[in-house]
Amino acid sequence: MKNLFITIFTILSVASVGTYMSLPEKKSVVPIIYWVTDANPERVRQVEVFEKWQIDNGHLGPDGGPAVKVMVDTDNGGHKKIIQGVSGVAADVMDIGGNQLNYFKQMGFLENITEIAEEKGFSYKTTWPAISELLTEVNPETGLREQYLYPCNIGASALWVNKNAFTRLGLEPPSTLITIEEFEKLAKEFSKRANEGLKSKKFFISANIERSILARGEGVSMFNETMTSTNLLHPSYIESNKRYIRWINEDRILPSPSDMASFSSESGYGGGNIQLFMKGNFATTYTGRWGLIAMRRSGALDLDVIVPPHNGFPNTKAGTRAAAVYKGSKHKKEAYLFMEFLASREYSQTIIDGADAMPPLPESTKDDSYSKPAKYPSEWAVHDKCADFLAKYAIVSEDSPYVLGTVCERYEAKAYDKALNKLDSLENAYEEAHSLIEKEIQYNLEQNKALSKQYDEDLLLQAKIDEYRKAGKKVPLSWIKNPFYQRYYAAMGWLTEEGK
Amino acid sequence: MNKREVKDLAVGVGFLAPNILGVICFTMIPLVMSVIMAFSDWDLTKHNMFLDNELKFVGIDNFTKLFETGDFVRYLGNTLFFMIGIPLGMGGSLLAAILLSQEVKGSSRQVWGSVFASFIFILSICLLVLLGLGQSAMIILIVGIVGLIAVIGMTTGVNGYRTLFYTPHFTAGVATYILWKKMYNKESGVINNAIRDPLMSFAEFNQALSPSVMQGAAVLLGLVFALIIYKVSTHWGQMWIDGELGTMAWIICNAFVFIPVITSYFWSPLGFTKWIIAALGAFLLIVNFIRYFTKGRDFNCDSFAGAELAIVFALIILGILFLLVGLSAVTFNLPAMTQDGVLLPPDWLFEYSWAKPALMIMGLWGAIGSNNMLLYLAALTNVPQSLYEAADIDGANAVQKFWNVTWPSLAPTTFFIFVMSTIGGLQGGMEMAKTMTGGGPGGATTTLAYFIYVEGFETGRLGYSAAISWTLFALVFTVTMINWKFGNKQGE
Repeated sequence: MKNLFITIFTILSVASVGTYMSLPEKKSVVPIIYWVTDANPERVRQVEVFEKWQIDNGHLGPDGGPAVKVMVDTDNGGHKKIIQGVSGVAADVMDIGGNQLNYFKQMGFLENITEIAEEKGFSYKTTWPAISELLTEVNPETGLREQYLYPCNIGASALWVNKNAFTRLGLEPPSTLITIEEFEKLAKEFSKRANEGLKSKKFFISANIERSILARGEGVSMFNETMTSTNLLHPSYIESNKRYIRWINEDRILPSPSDMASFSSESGYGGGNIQLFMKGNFATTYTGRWGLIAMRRSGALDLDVIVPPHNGFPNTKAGTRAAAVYKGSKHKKEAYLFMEFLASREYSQTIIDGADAMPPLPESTKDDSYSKPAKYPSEWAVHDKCADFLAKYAIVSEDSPYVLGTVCERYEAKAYDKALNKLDSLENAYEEAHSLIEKEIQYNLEQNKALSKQYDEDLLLQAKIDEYRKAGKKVPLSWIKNPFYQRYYAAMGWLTEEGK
Repeated sequence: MNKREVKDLAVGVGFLAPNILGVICFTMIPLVMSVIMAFSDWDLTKHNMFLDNELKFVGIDNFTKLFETGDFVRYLGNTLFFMIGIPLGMGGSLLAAILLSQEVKGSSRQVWGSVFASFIFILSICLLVLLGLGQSAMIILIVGIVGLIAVIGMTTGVNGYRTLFYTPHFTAGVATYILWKKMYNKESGVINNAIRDPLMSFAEFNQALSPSVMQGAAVLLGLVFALIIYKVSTHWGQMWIDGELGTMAWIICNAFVFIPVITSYFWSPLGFTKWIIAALGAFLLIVNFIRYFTKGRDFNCDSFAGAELAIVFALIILGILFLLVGLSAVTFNLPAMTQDGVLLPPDWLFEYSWAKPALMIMGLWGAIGSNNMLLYLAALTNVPQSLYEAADIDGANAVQKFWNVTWPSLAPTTFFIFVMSTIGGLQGGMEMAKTMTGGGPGGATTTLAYFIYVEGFETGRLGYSAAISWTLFALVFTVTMINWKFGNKQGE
């Protein structure tokens, strides 16, 4: 028995040492940093360019090769990053995107990179102004803007149009700034002609369009001007979402979740929507420039890109997949070098070449390699428009400081789902969601006295804004916290001179 | 302790140390921390190694919050709904085990004859599929597969069947869920393809009938419902009088079958048939109860005597009654559903009323061919042959032998399976919901386990999430206590 024990113990010890010695860090003469990002095939090329960029810029290791190596790791919807981040063992650099930016900033494990970013040239000021708010946070004590992230890429979601899908049915493709009414009319006609003779609908105008953009197109955002309360009960917000449900359940111009499942197409980067867009089942697809990664694999299409339909205020959403340095990283210096690379012209060029959304550097889009890629002449009409949309129409999500975006989205989506499934009226469902979000806000205020003070101030401001607007008076920009309303008020001419 | 004993102890501890350390680090410490979390405001956006906010203890706030939004109660309801399938799954496992304990190997001539016939049959189907027979070929293909299974049984004997029935247990959960998701597909799923044509034919047939015929059928189902209630309540009442069932056990059994009676009263799709089901069912149950109670007992026994087997039986009846209620509702509404002469197959995973039953059916498939079946198989081999021989001498038929010999002999196993399945049911549903429906539509398939996951990671409120977990634990613990109380008794 003793011998058996010793034998097993020895085998396990040797195996442990063997495993430890086989770690990449043990084999490498230069530090290795881990980059948690999405499972995009482009990442491999980006790492190769990073290594070349280091050599070209004199960041050399003892063997004459690059000074830092990068290992790419993937994540499952952010949960791995959260668990590892709060536990002190996360990757040195992590990509964060979508509605998680605020959540991650609040968890406090992202390094404040304000100073080093200024020094090394990866300040948020070097990239697109539309996404500044996503990369930074205003320190409530100092009132200064602090940077936590730098973009890996930027997206201005839009409707990508397969012009042939319309012309083959004798229809004119949609115009760049199409109104909701025009869009609905076109979609109905498309649906009628494309599905003629079919037992069940196989052709739709699009897989989906972000509902919040359609509501914004009506001039209403999910939160009010000071983000102190939701606008879920606003008549325009309800109307906009009711229309969307009608498009799915009655007009059948957008597919239901069941229709989507019936397509049985989930393969490839970008998911099934782009595959179905390429096949012609969807005449348009709501995506960012990164959708081209999948589109390029399926062959040339006669493409156009348009702003989502609107009712007076054309807009789209600006988003980013941004990289942050982990506060608990043992390789911060190396991680900063990687951030420096993200702000380089070489990196932006890889984004341009790979069509991995929009590059971090705006000036890189002025080049012909961006607007007229030689290999893809069918895309020439879209690249400049993407840059134009990002500069003119893209607005970031309205993330209230008083409640987590993920929580609001969940309650809103649940209410919408109820109405979509005819379990309740949208009014009732939104009323419930609104009251739940208000409860969440009150809970957060009880937990945080500083936030509570700010909330009281913002409530007063909101009352003033409402009073001014009722009287038809203009308001100063500084009163408005919601990024959508900042742009909307400016567009409507509702800001005082100071605001403009 | 002498030197030798110390040495032995050291070796023993050495062997156990890795496991003990593992349990301490990965089970005990997280367990203690989760208790702390449940009574505190632990929130990832406030409390982690990079933030120095003070942890506040909030007493039972997290637990009272569970009942503020209604989500917890709703998702507990979903979890319990899925558990209605447990008695049915157990019944399926038992049936499978009984079938698999029979010897089925055929004679050489039968085997080769069947092999040849099946080969020709499957080849013909493949040709039909290739030639574009489409949906009808799918039905024939399923029949062909059933034929193939028969051939496997005849060539390999019962072992082949045992392997086939146990296959769901080998299959990885997520892979199974994806497969079922494809099978449930509204347009291209094998299930809808198989039932689409028969449904259409049925719709045409049904349209030709007067609506009162189908409503009459619904009433008939309601009467069957009431009859079952009458029969089981009579059975339990007699057992109580004979001293085979304790008073508490008798009350619990009656309470269980009262659940579908009450539910049907509040279920609008039943139309006027709810009066037959609810009123007649309740009337018979209550009258029978009072009748036996006023008669008084001939023999006394413990309050919980016979509870274990009677409760499992009551739960099986509960499952059957719910099935009848569902069938009655469908039958009652058929004239309205087929008024255009069209009856489309359900949109299994994306229709609120179908999503839960769809997942339950899938669960049933997994449950029948699971370890439960193996446990029953093992238990069946332990039933003394002498009992069957005695029953044969008494002239008992197959049903009587099952009811009076097999079923009571399997009682400890049945109870054990029931308790373990209940615990599994309370804890389960997470992978299923995440893979197949994302908890939708409209939260119809969100279970408590999935709710814990969403609350923990999407909001970072570990305190609240831990409170849900501990409430779930309390439910599981209660079931375990029932097992401890009655399961041990059975063992004795």
